Amino acid sequence: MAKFKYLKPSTLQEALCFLNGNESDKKVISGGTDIMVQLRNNKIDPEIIIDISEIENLKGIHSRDGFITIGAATTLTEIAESDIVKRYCPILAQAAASVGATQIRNRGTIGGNVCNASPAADTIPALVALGAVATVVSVEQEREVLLEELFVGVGKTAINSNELLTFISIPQPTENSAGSFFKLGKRKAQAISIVNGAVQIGVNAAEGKFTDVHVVMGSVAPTVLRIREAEESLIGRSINRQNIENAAEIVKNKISPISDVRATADYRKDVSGNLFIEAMSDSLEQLGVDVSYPGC
Amino acid sequence: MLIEFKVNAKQYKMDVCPTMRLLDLLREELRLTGTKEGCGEGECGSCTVIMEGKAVNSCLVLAPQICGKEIITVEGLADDRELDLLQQKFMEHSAVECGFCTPGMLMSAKALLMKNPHPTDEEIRTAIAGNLCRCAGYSKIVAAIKDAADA
Repeated sequence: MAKFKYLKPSTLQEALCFLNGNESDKKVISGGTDIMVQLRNNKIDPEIIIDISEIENLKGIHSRDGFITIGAATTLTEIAESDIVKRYCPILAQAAASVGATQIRNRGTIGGNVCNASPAADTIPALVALGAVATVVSVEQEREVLLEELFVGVGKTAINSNELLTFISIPQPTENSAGSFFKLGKRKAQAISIVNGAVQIGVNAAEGKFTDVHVVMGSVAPTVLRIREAEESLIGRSINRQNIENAAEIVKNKISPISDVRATADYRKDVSGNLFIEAMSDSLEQLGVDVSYPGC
Repeated sequence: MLIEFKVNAKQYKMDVCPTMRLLDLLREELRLTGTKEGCGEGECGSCTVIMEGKAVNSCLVLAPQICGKEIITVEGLADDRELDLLQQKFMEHSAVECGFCTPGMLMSAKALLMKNPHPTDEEIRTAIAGNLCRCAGYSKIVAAIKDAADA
């Protein structure tokens, strides 16, 4: 492992000051579950490592003013076990619980999963489906970025080198909404997703119509994909199998997966449609709407 | 850099290189070689130790990150030459084949029982899902943990 200087700020202000100078290559670390592997494989070679894991106000989950706010240094275990997350955004709890294994989730953080910007990251599709917003701060300014606009390529985000992701805020879903997270891997634990994704839907059960639909797919493009055409094909329409199957076709056509060691592109396309249908069926079941898919 | 920490209830104050991993600090500096290195990238769980009551991969923790923290390694399980109940149950159930994964398995199991003394089979399997046994002796390992929990 290359030599680097290790800094452990105890406050956000101190961390931002460390990030502000542009004289050398810096990397932010918290749980280190991705960074340590990259350091060891010489994929990154920073001069300074800034450890934000001890900054108290970047940890924890709060529900206030209609938003669930999660500090960037909150661990995946804390998110998976949080009563607030399980109650208001269960798809995020499921996504967090599906990352790596216990040891990884005990150290790995939500901020790290987002900033590492892997196309196969598990929490990202859930966060995008929930309409999450990232708070990004530098010494000079604080800005909010819609999470789906944060990713610019494989491993790349729109966060500048002098900025720090501090919080992720999720608008509290309404009563008549539900969601489903899905992940297909070779095994349950420690698997990099072949395909993952999430749907979050709102319905008017009395009229039998979709009022809101978020469809997000991961591992099928360089960045997470929100499939707006599939969403638009459902919003305001009747809840029935035909409409869901049409939307599944759109999902299959709008993704651009690659063939790699985990699966072929064709397989990823087919399975994406099926996973989408299963997720819609699961979400509707939670809302007490039966579209009866035999075998799902 | 100078750091203070606790390993197996013993307080240490050491000058460490910031690029050192917790795994190397344990094995090379403290000579606690019970903790094993398998993959070195958080996939196999051989290097699992308990940090602040939670199972972690010691290959993914930087030594300076343990400043002010408490670590338990497999050497910390036995008390005055008497084995921990988990270790006894692993022996009774022959839950050890080549033995390389055993320290990591024990520490994942210990972390689980510290938090949840009466886990279900599913919870046991989830707790050790990050520990690979290349001898594939999982059933006996799960049975040993279950037995220790029920005892």
